[in-house]
Amino acid sequence: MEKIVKGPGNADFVNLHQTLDDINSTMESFLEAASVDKVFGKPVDVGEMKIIPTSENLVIMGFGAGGGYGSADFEKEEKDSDPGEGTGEGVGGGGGGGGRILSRPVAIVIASPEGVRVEPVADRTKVIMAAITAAGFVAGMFLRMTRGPKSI
Amino acid sequence: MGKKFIIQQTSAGEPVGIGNLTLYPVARSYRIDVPAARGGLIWNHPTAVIVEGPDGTRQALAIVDQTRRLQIVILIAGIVGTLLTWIIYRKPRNPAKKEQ
Repeated sequence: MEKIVKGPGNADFVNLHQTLDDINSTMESFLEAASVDKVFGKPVDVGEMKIIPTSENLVIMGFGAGGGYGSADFEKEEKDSDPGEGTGEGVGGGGGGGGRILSRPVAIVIASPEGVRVEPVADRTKVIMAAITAAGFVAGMFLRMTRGPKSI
Repeated sequence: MGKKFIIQQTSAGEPVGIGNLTLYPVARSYRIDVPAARGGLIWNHPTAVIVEGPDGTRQALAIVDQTRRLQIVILIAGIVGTLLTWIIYRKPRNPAKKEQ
């Protein structure tokens, strides 16, 4: 009698392991975001000076993966019209993730044989946005406190 | 001991030489791990540059995040301004209404 065998193919295992390997390699890249090299750029030579750009990095990342494996035995019963018997196995898995990197210049280190100085970099857009937000809070409260009672 | 949820790390990078001076970049990172999943958050920012002179003396130059400071100052001013507006323009409670 022909046995029905549905086992986990090598391709399923390879795909699952590849997914886990991809997640591990991406996690290693994620952890590299905490290194010093990511916030201090490569020095740029300008005449006798060296200019080192610095930036602030915020990295957000998340992953998830899962897999499963199962097997079952099928035996023929007399009343069963299905004449087949055998075993079945299956494996499945998957994973996914997402993330975001935010980077912003903070300062420039200017080094020369005479000395070193740090020049801060101010992001005008962010400062203006903060000012507009703060002004909005004050204006909102002013309007709320000075307007008359609501008429129905 | 349980696993740390927030990990702070201060580390120095590769030294950069110019003339008789040697610069050591220093950065601080905060890592927040999500217990239920792989991944998390890393905030990494420069904190200082240590300058080593030819005689071995070291001086730390702090790297100030001017944008962040200005943002914090402006937002605090906004909160204070909102509270002052509320204090100045608030109407006194109606005693007659209170008696009812």
